[in-house]
Amino acid sequence: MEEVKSEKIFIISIDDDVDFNLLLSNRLKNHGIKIITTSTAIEFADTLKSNPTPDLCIVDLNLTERPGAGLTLIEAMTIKYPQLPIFVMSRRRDGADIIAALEAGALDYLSKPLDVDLLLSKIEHNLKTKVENFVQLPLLKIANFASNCTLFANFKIREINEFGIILDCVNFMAKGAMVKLFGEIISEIFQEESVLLRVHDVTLQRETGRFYSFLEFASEDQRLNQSVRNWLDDQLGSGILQKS
Amino acid sequence: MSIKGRDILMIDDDPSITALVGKVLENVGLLFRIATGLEQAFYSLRVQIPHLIILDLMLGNEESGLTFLERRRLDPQLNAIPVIILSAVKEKKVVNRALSYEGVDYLLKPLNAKLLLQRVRKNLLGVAAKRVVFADEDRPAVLAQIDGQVESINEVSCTVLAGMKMQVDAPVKIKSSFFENFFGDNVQFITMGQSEFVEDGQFRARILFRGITEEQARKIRLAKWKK
Repeated sequence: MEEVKSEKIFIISIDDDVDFNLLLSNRLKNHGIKIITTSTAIEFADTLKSNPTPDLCIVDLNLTERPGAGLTLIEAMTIKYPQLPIFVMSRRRDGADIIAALEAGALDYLSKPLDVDLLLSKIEHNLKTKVENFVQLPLLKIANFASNCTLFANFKIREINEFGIILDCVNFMAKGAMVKLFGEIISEIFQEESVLLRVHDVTLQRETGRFYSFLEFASEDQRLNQSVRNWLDDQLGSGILQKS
Repeated sequence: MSIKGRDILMIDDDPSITALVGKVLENVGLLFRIATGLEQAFYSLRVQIPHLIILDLMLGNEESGLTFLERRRLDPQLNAIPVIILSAVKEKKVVNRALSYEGVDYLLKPLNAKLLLQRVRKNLLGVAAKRVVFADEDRPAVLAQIDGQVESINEVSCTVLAGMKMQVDAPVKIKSSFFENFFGDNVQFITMGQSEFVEDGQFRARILFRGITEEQARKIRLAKWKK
């Protein structure tokens, strides 16, 4: 089997469509990428054995050797070569196929017919490398009104006090950011599905590299403050003052 | 440390003074409530323990402020609450008796708002906040939701502005009606590299689409050409 010694991006692919293999090889050659195309599982395995550290493997999901051969191959590769990035290609546009491929261990998914720009862009981003003679796909700037989004992250609560909640986070949250919290304990304290709080302060825990973010209760929200103080009283056992 | 949100109970039967003190304290973000006599005060204390009490000595023309202090002394929970006496009484014997109780400060009327605030701040900072700290293995989980903005997009990635710095090269969950124009649930989002600090309160993250189909990429491309 052919052995490659080079600093160029090196790819091994498997597809039983010989014409497609030729097309892929020619198109990637223009960008200084070395690719060995194979068309059977045995040929692919032998090539990989001789060249165990390609930068990327591209696997056709619809190999005709037998049904599900592509998926089986990906699963086997992720066990034997866990660090090897794999792209999957397929003529089908079925969402279930994509999810199955990603769950089997593929890094990304590309549809046929081949879109070289997409492929090269994904190679650059996923391999964190620069492809020769390729200009990244330009970004379209979005008008403000059309572009709101919501990000979600899972955190743990380190402390609840009368003035706010301290979260244990891997993410750094900016002071002043508004954060909505959901969870069983939130419902328990506030009798609401969620509570909206402002990040007041963030400290870095040097030993762990994690952040403690202090989210402050709004002082003017009497109901919120009352709820947390009642909960704290219950937890701390101080309860309501007894008449002397 | 901020004193905002702390709860002050004022025991005084003079509405002009309680209105003035209330204004001063609420202006700095403190919660303020009033009791005009001892029984109302004890009722209020049964409902909620304040962080600080401001007390007039002469309630209903009797020295019932001192009665309050005596009852307070007998209750450990009440005795832990600092008291600032705000009174026109200057008689040395009375002042000394008041100051003999634990955790009591004394200010003379007429009201000096600046001085009152100083003493309030000083006394509040000495009060430990109630808190529950969770051991590592018992920390309750919460889902945090932060609003952001999709700033730009191409066929394989987008940039997002948000008040949170994302983890490097990690999956991220994003919901946006904007994305729904282009793709459904098949696309995963992975951060690329470090988030970039943009301005106070904002970071820019580059996010890679994983699993986008050629048809979906084409929709984005068409949107770009239209622009």
